[in-house]
Amino acid sequence: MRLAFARRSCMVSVRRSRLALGFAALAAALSFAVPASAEEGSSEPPRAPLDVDARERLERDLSRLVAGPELAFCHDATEAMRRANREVCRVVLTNARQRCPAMARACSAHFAELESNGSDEARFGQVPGALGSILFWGALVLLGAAVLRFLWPLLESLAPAPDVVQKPSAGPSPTEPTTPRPPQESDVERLLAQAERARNEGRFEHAVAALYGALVHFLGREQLITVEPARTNGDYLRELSPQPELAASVRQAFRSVERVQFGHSEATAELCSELWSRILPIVKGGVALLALVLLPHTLIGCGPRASLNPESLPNGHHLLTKLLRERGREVRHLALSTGEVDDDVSQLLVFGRDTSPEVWSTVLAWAEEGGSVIVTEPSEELTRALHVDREGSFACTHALELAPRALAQSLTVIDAGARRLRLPDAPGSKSAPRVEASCDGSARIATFHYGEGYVTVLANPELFGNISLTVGDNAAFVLELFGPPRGALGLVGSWTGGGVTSPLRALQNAGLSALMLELLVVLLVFFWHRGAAFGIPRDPSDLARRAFADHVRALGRSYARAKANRHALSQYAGFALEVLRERFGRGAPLSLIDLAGEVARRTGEREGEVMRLLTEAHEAAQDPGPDHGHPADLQTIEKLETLLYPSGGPQ
Amino acid sequence: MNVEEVSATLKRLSAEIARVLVGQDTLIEHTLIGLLARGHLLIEGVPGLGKTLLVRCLGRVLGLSFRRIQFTPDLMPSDVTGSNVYSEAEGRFSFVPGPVFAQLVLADEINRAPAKTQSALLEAMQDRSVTVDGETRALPAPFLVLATQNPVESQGTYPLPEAQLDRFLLKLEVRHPTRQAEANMLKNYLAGFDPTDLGALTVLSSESHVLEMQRALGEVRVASEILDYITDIVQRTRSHPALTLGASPRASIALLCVARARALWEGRDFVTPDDVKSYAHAVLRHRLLLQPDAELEGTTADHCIDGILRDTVVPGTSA
Repeated sequence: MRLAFARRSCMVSVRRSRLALGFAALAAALSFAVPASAEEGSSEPPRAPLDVDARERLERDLSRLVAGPELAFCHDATEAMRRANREVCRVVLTNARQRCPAMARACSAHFAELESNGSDEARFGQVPGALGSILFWGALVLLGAAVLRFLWPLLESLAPAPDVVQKPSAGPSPTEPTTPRPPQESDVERLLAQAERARNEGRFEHAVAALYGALVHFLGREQLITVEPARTNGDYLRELSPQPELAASVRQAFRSVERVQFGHSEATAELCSELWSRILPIVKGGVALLALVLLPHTLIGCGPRASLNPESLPNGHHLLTKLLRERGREVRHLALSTGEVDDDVSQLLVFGRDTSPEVWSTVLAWAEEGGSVIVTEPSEELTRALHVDREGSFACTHALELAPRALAQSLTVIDAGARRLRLPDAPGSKSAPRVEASCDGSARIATFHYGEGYVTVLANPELFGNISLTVGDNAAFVLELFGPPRGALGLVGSWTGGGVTSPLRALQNAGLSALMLELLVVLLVFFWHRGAAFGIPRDPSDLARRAFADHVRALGRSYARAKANRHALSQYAGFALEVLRERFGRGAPLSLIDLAGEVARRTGEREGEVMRLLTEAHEAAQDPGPDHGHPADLQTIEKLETLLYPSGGPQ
Repeated sequence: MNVEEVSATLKRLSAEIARVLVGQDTLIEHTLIGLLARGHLLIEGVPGLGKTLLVRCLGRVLGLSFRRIQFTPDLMPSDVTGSNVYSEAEGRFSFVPGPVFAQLVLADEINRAPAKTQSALLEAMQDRSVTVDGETRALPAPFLVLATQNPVESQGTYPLPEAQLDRFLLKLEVRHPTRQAEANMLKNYLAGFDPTDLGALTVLSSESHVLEMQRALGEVRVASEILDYITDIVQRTRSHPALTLGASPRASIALLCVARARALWEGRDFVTPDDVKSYAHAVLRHRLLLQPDAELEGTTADHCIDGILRDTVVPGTSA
């Protein structure tokens, strides 16, 4: 019994110990299951305070990175002058340690001017020089003129045609088949190369022909003339008449070529050289003009100072991403178009107020499930979710007051921004956010416990900017804010394509709308110019049939040309007499005299006149005689016609 | 005379005539080229455009004899060629030359005379001689006939038959002068210009000079490609669907002669395709017969020639 009790006690003990072990294991598992961003029992995400070694390493990294070409404003005086503004200089001119000597000098030299200027976007001394301005605007004017020159034929074709009598077409082309000509070389550069090769080989006639071809096709390419096989040099010169100087040069060249082609002259080396010296300036002049137009653009585009990468500007984030990456943190741009955050992302950095509502809902949902989010400035969505906003103009004139932390050294953090956070609850309350940094009692950075995760909100985004990280201990503070390197850091903003759901919005956010529209217009103009059919090409329908009257008129013209008046009278007289007899005969054949009487009675004409007319018609019908084209015959026809109509004939 | 001298002389002649005949530079050029090519001209234009004045000016500056024949329905052939007239005093017949015996003859409104009279002149143009009563008499050299037609009137006219039209080297259509030219003409008139008195015109040439210029035509080279070009153009008139009758080989010769004359005018000793193309209309338009249907549509000979020139490849082109 004792054994059984002992066994039972032992089993209970074992069960209890197993239970205890189980509970312990469960507790351990749960503790690991909590997102790493949460410290047990803490209302702030994990931070990574920098020790001495880390601080020294950070210092070296900063020195190296600010000396690089990406942050030219730090060491290049001209670039610094272009980029300095009130916000930047407010950061730079603090007593905190400076790492951008050029920017510090630029701000010191012109701060008074900046302060007096009411605009925060004030710039000074940014123009590279008067010559650069002239070149730039001159190049733009030339480019505009070139575009206009290209579009002019299209605009002319749109103009309404003058009110002139349209000439009929030239009629159908001759039906005689022509032998197809071999294709002719039309590339100007190739023709010039052929000419040079032929000249070097002593084939001067070929060289002359190639030079002539190069000149003609160059003029055609520049749309100064229309090149066609049936056009002569005289036609081309007439087309060039609006440009008399060019026409004179071209005329000289044409004359030289014609002397070889049709005249007594032989193609010689001297003639080739003479032609070469005449034609080359014309042909290459166009290339030179193009180069002159493009050159200022290339000059402006040269050099690191002309870099337009926004990440390299004073408020860019090149330094932040570089520092994080060098510390083993993967930094990735996220669009969040699918509404989900990548599994390996452990932290999000959300920029600006232009992030779309769809992205905000994704971010906040992710934070609620345990994610860590840092937001550079509050937005409407964030205000609704966390009841936090920013306000006012409260520039901080000294280093920020930081929340207590376990650091060996205190940090001097300078906030260039002029706003403060308006927090939802009074500080110190249970649901109140933790204030990370403040200035004169106003919160500048606060961390909210949101669901299972955390959202750290900054009042001003400038803290993360390049210039801000070069001042004081801002870089150390920011690195601490991001915490230890674990998982990827996702950057989210309108410039990352921040979750837009339509391609048009994505284009708009990327600033490409104007470019896409311009490309579309160029494409349309190109196809319009080339004459591409925008629909099914249709031939104009031919007039399949002619009116009977046209045939009659054609027949009449033939008669008239042949002077066959008598013949026409003979035919018409026979017809007219037949009709009159049918109309008045009442079935019985009428003699001429009787017919004349009936017709005279019906039409009111004098019987004698009718008789004379019918007699003449009868004679013509019986025996027309030789044709002399006498006008009297036509008059007889007209008179017969007048007899037919009043008596009820066809009109 | 070399080519440059001929060209310079022609340009001077043209400028001198243009002092009086304002706004008809193309007509003057065509006329001088016709003279150079030893051909006769048919000028079509409404009255009042200066056709008679042109010929009179031409005669004056060239130093050639000039006669005008006004064609009327009752004009007889002998009125043109001349006839043998019995002289009672001498007791024999003597030939009285007609107005055709001049170096420049203006046959005004040639389509008003009957065919028999037209033929008398046309025969003289072709043969450059006149046969009266079995005796042939040569016409003077140079000999140029400028016949005119009024395109407006058709009543009481005797249009030249197509076969006879072929004898004219060029058919020129004279149009109204430009506004500026007409204004200048009025200013000349106000300044006292008298169209009947051409004494102000300078005589720049002579009979021998003109003959020498005509001989200079032989120095103008014609490449074989140009001959092919002329042949192509004329051949295409014979297969054109809008034409009943195309141009004859006489037209090819005419086009060749005129192209050479034009090359001389430009101061060249060789013919270019542009010389041929620029005179194709004047040479061919009166030698083509349109289909009635084409005529109904408003197609003209010039339209057909435009189409042929567009389809004929120019020699030496690189297109």
